[in-house]
Amino acid sequence: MVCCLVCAIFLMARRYLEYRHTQDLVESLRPSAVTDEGSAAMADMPESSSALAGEDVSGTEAAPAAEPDKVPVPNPYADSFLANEDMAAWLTIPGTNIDYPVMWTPRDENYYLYRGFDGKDNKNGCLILDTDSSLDPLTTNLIIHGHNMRSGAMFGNLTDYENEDFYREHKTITLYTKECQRNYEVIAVFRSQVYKKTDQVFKFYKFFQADTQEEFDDFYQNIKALSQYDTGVTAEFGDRFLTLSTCVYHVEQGRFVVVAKEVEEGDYYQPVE
Amino acid sequence: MKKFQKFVSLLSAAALLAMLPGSNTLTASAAEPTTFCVSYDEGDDAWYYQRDTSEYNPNIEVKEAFQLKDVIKDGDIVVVVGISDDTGLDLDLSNVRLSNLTIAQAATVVVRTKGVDECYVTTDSVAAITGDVSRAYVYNEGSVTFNSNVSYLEIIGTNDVHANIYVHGTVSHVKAVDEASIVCYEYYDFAKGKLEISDGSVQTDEAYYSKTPSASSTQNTAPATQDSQSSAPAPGNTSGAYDSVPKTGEAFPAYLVLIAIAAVCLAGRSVCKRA
Repeated sequence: MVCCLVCAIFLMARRYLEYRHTQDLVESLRPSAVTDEGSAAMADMPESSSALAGEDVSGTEAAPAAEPDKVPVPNPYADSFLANEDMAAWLTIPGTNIDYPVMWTPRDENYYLYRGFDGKDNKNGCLILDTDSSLDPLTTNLIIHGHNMRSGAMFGNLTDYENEDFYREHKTITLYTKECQRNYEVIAVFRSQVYKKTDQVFKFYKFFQADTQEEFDDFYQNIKALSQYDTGVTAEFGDRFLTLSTCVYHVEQGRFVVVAKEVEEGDYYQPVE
Repeated sequence: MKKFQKFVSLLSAAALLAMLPGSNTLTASAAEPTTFCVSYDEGDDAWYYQRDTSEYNPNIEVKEAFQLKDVIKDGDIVVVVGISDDTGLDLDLSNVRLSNLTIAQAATVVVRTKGVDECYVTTDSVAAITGDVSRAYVYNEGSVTFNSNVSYLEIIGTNDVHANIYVHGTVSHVKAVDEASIVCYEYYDFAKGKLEISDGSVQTDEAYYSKTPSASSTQNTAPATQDSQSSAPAPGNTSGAYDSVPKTGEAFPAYLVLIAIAAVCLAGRSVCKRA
């Protein structure tokens, strides 16, 4: 019994230290102040997306050029981008602890699954951008995977979106890339799973690009049908999405998914050097 | 008293097993296929293999390619990644049937297997494959000799097809398509040792194949998925296996198990003392 307790304490301590290391490392990467023009715009965002329906979101694939009235500002995460070239973006859900770098390693998608930002072994891992997603050129859908940690780290609290009240208080998601700040509003929340290769079903994790109305409709109609509640947010062909995915255990290979639609962009950034 | 203590210990162990997730059910599942990358190291002038990756990963341990035979099993996936040069690989996997064999820009590769479900040979590859192949896909300027039978052979080109293929066995169904999915030609039931395609053109005498399918030639010849028509091969496309998506769950913490054991031991000890 004593041996078991000692081992348990040792493992708990190691887990806690790993968690603290992750948190401290991420804290050190967070900028002291995020330039907030885009954030302020998000705070004033209307309830539904209907007010933004007039925007032209024809889905250009190239990196965005700064609009004439938007002066590029220094990237608040420039130091983080420079600290690790595998970092593709920074993801924030205001009001939650989801505030982490997003790694992209096309040669080995799972490289940061159990490694920290510093590349050292870490059970918390990092948020990883699916290698079939791309920021340049920008794909229709960006899929970010993250661990569902009991401690609440990474996407441990993503499942809070199952509560509609939580959704109402956390409708927006922000992705800071090298080029600009991308703002999203949650459009669908659902449980799904990873299927077998031969299963002929809707696979949310297979949607990256919609070149036709049909491809878009297939994804859009399925996520709206699966959504646990009606967010009132709509989308049309040409819109872009951000999909957050983490494991849940309601079925084998279960996934909890939050899909958000891109709305107006925030700040444009000066090149990271 | 000792018997009672023993009984409590057994009860504790049973309670522990019941608390462990999934321990109260017996499940049997086939081992997931393992992906091996066999790549050429120019510095060592040698071929090595790595486990659980479809491309060379400097962070994964390498072992000599000839050792792959000792660890591979039926249903596994092998991706041979080389450089378009005469580097010469002779891979003996004759003890297993592979679910997927991909030759990616590797020249002069000889692979001996018990059979292959899906075989991809990309452009600039030169390969010889032994073992019956269910579905084979040869891209652009790929050159390959199949030493056994091929059920379904698809040749994919950009503007036109340019592959060089020879089959020592029979071929049930051959289809050549370009990148726009236009079928250049489609033939059936090639006699043993008669299929020869040079620069994309069928050289076989018409007496040795048919232009219309027979009942047997269309069995087991349907292409695997739409992905087969893309320019990039898709290693790991096996039926029964799950799609490859990052696993983002958290393992059941071992410390909870240990705490549970300690709690049960303590409870058992208290009961014994009262007894």
